[in-house]
Amino acid sequence: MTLRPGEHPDELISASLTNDLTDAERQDLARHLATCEHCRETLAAFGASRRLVSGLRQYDPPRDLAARVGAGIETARSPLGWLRRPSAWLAGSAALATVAAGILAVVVLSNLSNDEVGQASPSAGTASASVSSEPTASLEPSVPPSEQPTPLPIPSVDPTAFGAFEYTLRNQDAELRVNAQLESRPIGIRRYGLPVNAALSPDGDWVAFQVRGEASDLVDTYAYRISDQTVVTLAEGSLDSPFSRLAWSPDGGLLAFTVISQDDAADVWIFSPKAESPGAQQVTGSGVSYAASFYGGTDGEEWLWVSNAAEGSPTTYRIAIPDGGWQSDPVDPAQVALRTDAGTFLPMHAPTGVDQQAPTAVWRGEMARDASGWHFVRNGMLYLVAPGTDGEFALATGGTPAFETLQVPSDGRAFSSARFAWAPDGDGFAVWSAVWDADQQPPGFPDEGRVYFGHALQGVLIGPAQALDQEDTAGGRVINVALAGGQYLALTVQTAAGSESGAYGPTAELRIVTRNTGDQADRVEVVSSDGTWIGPAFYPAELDGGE
Amino acid sequence: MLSIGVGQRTTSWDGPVSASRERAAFDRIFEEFSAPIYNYVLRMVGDADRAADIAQDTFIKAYRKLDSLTDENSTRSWLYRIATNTAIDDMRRRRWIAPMDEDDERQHDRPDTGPGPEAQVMASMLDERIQRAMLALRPNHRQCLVLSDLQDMSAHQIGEVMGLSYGAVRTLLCRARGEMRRLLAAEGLVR
Repeated sequence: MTLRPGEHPDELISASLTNDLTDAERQDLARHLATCEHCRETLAAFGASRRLVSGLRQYDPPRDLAARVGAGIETARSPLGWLRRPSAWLAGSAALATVAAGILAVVVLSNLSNDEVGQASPSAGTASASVSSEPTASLEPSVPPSEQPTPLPIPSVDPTAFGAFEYTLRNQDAELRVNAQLESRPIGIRRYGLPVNAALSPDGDWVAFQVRGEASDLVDTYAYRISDQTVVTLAEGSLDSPFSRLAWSPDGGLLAFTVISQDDAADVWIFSPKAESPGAQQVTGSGVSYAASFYGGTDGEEWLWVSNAAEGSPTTYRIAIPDGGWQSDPVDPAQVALRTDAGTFLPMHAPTGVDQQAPTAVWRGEMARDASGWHFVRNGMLYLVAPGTDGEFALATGGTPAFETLQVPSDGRAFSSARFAWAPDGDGFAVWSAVWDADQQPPGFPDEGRVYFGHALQGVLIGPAQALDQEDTAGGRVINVALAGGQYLALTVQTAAGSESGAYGPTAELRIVTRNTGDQADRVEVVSSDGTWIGPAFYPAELDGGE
Repeated sequence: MLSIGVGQRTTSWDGPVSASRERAAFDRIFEEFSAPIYNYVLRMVGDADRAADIAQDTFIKAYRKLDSLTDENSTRSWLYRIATNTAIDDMRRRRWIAPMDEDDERQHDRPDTGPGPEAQVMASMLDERIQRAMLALRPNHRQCLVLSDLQDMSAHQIGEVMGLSYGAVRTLLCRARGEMRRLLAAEGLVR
């Protein structure tokens, strides 16, 4: 720092009190002080101020602090307590409201019929001070009642079962919280990252979730028990894939997921939360196996679809998983398969899998592997397949393309990959991050940045009109889509990157969409907070009601 | 050594040896830093009950994040960083971070001098006048001044806690001292 004539070097005077000066600065300051009465007074005042502050009385901490910390750790509860403060959902936002109000607003909307949605603003506005609404739905129906679309099945969403993750990073200090059953609780995990995927177990006891490292892009998988805040680390450092799923068995007794090593070896793992020592076990050792979904089984075991990727045609196998978890060494699923379906990949049963009407989604096509992992290179397409009278699925031949209007050109260029999710009602399904390698049909369709939403049981498959409104995902990138049933979806949309210094982490909004059709714009409730990553959401796997 | 009586850790299924080591390490950290951290946040928020809550929250977070502390020499700045963020979060939640020109808002920052824990803690008149001046500072000015003058941290250490460069800390400290001088002068404590 070079002193200019007439300048009073307050910063050097301040730094001199704590010996934070270079030799040159110290000499400059000494010369200046020798000739400047003003700065000598400043030095004296700063020094007196420092002495006063440093002489402040030091107090003993409360005698019960150790006990309180111990109790807080034991129960993994935040000592400030979500009950005693506004939820971190809303902290930092200009409008402070209770998280219960925010969630209840969603539930209020969830219980309205399609006709009522356009008239719901007053009650929603009252309840959701923390939630902005864009685009705003008209207060009046925009089309005559006779032209209203047929109301879709409206599930009765249990408000205590809706939940979402929330992640903040500030000055390298990370915090992950889960908002579930109207409570907001911190979660301690080994490596913090951006929550990108979540699935609530059908019994509502556990949430499986994945976080992605901000720098590494590697994914860690955890399971969190809502009742006692237990966190189990299931897998760390996995590569991500659009074909990675968190698949619960219908009774919530098993979770299947895929772990992809950094040399791209993919294998299926199982988590058995009801086992005496909950933990994850590796099921396959083929290096090309992906967990698809559970369907059926016998007493004492669940049947799991496992798909092996391959250069050319993939294959799906049905294998038996004991209820108590996988106790054997990893296997090649081909060696223990109860059933084999060549040419198919990743059958994803609707959550209402025991229902004879419940469809399944399955990929068909030819695959290849490159630096980005396995993907389809010819005729890649998602199909929706209904069960036969015996409850079985013709995975290789049955069903209809989920994107019903797309024509695969003669060179076979089609979908490379996409992400897919079912609604709990077994009707609604969403596709996003869909990579279509051929020409768009028509221009703009399909679009990797859009979210497509169909209704399998009603025969509403995906065409250009089945995209959520462009505004629903404007200004961000869709990370995750969770479906509540009916016409309700919760999008996790990343809207800002984090600061390079690490002072703030990336921002994501939770956009709760009420899908409207015809001339009515979708209704979007935005849950956001600056510098906070909110999402993904998760919904109960089984919903009461339906029709 | 103080024992905080931590039960089986719930954040992983680590074996008993690992858990025992973690508890021992955490007990050492708690013993060394519980008083400084409590006094730091007490001066930040000016309320004994809130300070106790924030100190409690700080150590619970620290326990959960013990895995992220890879360098024992960084324990102090790591812990103060957690305490700082926890205190700031608390202040934000209470909407007590106010611009300097909003006198009405600033009144809320002043310690309660009535009967109760606050009054006992702030018993000294001199202490009270200094604390009153300190609570009138902007939070980031207050923070760096407390870290420097009460916790005796260097500019480098303050930078680690606040996530600022060395130069930024020097500038911030200078402004804080200037503001504190003005406030203490109003209390008749300095010229």
